[in-house]
Amino acid sequence: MIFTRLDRSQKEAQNLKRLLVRTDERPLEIAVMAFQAVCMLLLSLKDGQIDAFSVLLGACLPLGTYLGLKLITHFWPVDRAMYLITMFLCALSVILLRAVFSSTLKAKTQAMYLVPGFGSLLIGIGVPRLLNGREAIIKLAMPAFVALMLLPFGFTTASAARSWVNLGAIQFQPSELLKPATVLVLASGFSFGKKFGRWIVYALYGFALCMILLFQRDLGAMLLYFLLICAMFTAGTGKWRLTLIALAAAAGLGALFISISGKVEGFGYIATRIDIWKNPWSGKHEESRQIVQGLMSVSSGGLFGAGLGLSYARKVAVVGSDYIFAAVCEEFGMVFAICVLLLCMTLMLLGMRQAMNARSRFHALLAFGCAFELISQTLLIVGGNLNILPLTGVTLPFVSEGGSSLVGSMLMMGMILGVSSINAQDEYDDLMRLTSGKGVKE
Amino acid sequence: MEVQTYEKLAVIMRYPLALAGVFIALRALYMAFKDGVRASRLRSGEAKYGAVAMFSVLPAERRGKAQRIPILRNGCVGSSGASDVRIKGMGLAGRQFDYEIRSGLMHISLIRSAGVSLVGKRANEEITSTIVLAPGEKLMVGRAVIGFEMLKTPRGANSPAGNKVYRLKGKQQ
Repeated sequence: MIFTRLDRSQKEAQNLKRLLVRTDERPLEIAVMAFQAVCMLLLSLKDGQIDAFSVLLGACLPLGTYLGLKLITHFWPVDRAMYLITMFLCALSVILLRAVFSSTLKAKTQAMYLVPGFGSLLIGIGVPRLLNGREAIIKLAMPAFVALMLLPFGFTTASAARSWVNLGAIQFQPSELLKPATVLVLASGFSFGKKFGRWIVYALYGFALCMILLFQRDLGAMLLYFLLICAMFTAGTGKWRLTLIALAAAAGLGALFISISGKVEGFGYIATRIDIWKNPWSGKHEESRQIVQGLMSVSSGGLFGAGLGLSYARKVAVVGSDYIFAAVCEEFGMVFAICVLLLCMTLMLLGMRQAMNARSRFHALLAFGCAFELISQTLLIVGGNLNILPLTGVTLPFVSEGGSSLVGSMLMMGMILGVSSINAQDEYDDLMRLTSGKGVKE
Repeated sequence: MEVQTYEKLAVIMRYPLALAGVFIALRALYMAFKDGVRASRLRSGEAKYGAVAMFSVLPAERRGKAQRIPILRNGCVGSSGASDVRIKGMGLAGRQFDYEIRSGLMHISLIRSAGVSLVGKRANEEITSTIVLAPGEKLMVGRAVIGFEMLKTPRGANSPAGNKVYRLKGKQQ
């Protein structure tokens, strides 16, 4: 007789169930809401008279955060810390745009974008449940994604990159919206068993998107897509040697391309950017002004910043999207900027954890791809702002100005939250089932 | 409000806002850490809460981390909600097999025997309606490799196959 009858006592069952309860999110929720309210109410006094828009946002942002949390957690047991961090970063975007610019137009536009952004978060939460195992639907959508990526060729812009679609009142960047779609496609393709042919097809699909971005001269997005494909291929197939070979080949080709880029029409700006990155203070190029002003903006904030609305970050070109991190440093200071980076890293860490805990390969790859994309984007843009890396045109997720970037990032975050809700549900179901009956008897 | 008054207020508010940022970042990190500790305690503490054995479930390609499911009582394994141990998305039937632990061995009664085979040393063994697994032995069901480990292994819990090698591959009903 090895085992005696084990009756699950009430106390043991309660102890086990108590381990299902997650850390209380209310202190974080209150802190985020208070921060949003205080910043907007302070900014409402910036122009010498009370600004009604800022007061309205001072009420709507915290209320939206609170109601959004209640709405989402009513239906799905999502990771609440991830949601609150996301809402904090989204609100930070509106706060910064209001603080940096004297006009309220950019802040109003960004605040309006929060509505479709939240909608895409909700859609993203549903995607892992709806599309798990439905490879046929994803396959049908792949040509549409490629067509969407090709759309900018029909439109011209004044900037070096031709990656925007300009429809008059509406402008959007397909590459931003297609990031979550690409993660979805690759997760679906690499989550099946040992089918090398299928893996190569999906990897080639990803590389085709990279080539399209190359011809659109959006090298920042191309780099992000390429890194995403390599990471998901390695995570999904385990073929890390192939990935290393691809990375080495890409690095070699990239170095060669940069060396001859001056002679290739439309790519002359690459050599200029590399030159500026090596020494922005030389003054050889007019474009180095942005980097120099950005670095001065980062340093002039000191530890605690210039004060909300008192910075000169508006002097930095394209500060709303490319140099938003410099604006964070100047407005709030280095201490706060490090906290923002910590929050971004925490977000990605939580995303990776959801990928590790997922029980389905599709969900694991989906969460991994989204988290990887967000983290690589963050590192790329912060590195560019601090001149550690050459500046690219990518945005800081959730914080940078722009509707396409916000919708794409929220969709990816929604997918991670969707996977987290499935993981939580599985854990709960298993333990409830196991603790509801009697033990093993001899 | 005068602009100068706002400037003074904004300068004063730098410190509380920085403090708020620090609190939010540290609280978020604390929540992430605490939930991770909770989850690992849940996974490692099953014996303390009465678990006597563990299923380990791995996809057929055997890559990735095995999903560990504690066993507290006899029950049924399948993919539907009616099963005690639910393994989704790996090709199992709604109710695949019943299991019972006796004397340190797992006695399996197949409800659906299609797609079931033993792996490892017993790969050539004929599949019947009942299978007896010793700790460490594995079963392939659908696209999942299901292993069985005892948290307390009694003496004498040897595999019923012993050192025999079966020549015939198992028939499927």
